[in-house]
Amino acid sequence: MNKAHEDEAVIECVLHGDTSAFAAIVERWQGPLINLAYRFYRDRGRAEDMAKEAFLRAFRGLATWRRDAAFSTWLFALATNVYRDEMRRFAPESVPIDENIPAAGSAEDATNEADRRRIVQTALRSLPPTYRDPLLLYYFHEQNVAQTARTLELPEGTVKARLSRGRALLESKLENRL
Amino acid sequence: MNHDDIDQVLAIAEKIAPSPGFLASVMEEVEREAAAPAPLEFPWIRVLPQFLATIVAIAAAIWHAIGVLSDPAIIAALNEQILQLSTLAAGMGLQWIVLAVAMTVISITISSSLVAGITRSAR
Repeated sequence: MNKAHEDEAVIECVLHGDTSAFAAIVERWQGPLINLAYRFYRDRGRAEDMAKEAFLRAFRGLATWRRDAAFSTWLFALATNVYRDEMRRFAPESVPIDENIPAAGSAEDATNEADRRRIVQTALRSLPPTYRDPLLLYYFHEQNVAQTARTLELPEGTVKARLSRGRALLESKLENRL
Repeated sequence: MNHDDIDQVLAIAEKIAPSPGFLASVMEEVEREAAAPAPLEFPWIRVLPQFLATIVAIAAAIWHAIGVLSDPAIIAALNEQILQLSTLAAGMGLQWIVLAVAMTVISITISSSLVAGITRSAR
């Protein structure tokens, strides 16, 4: 039995009243959901809180999962909506990059790879959500446009356009900084 | 930094492992949620007779109004009343008040939609 069928069998059990069977779903998907949340918040505690919220919403809405898409697709789309709503509610639409990224040549200049990564991540999170979310999901899904499009419930063409525009924006933000 | 550099940096993600108690804490919430009593359903069956009675009452009122309005004497009386009211309103300058309120509503609507448009495009 493959993983997708295993998920389906577990969900059948949960829908027939065996709540404890849901543990298998949490066990299997906790890593991906927490890591996806971590890409949004860059805060471990908040990422776990939001992943927990996503699992609870998934539990409440299990009956609404239509079998036409894989359970993982439905789960990622649901979790992404939870994370984006949370970002909208409790964070500014975009973080002003100038306040978060040290300028080139400063004492905090990017001297190593970790700093470089941190700076790029901060720049990424400073983008408007329209471009930030496709980029976050694209790299989370190992650069798979189709999966990114399914998670965002958008056409692939739209995702490709937003990825391209997002990268250009990111590039301009990082100009003279790295 | 070009596209390839950005790709390279973003492709290498820092991964975190779930805390040891994460699964248990999720399941605790799930079990609590499952044990909670189901929300009360809206009592459609109790409401239905009153809903039907309201529809019948509205239909009867409309039917009665149609009957009343078909009488020429009543229509003439109504016309007279409307004429008196419009003369009174004109005397009070009501048309200018209505115009001012309409202009205010239109300008608020236009400025709100313009601000919303600017905010959306800024994002």
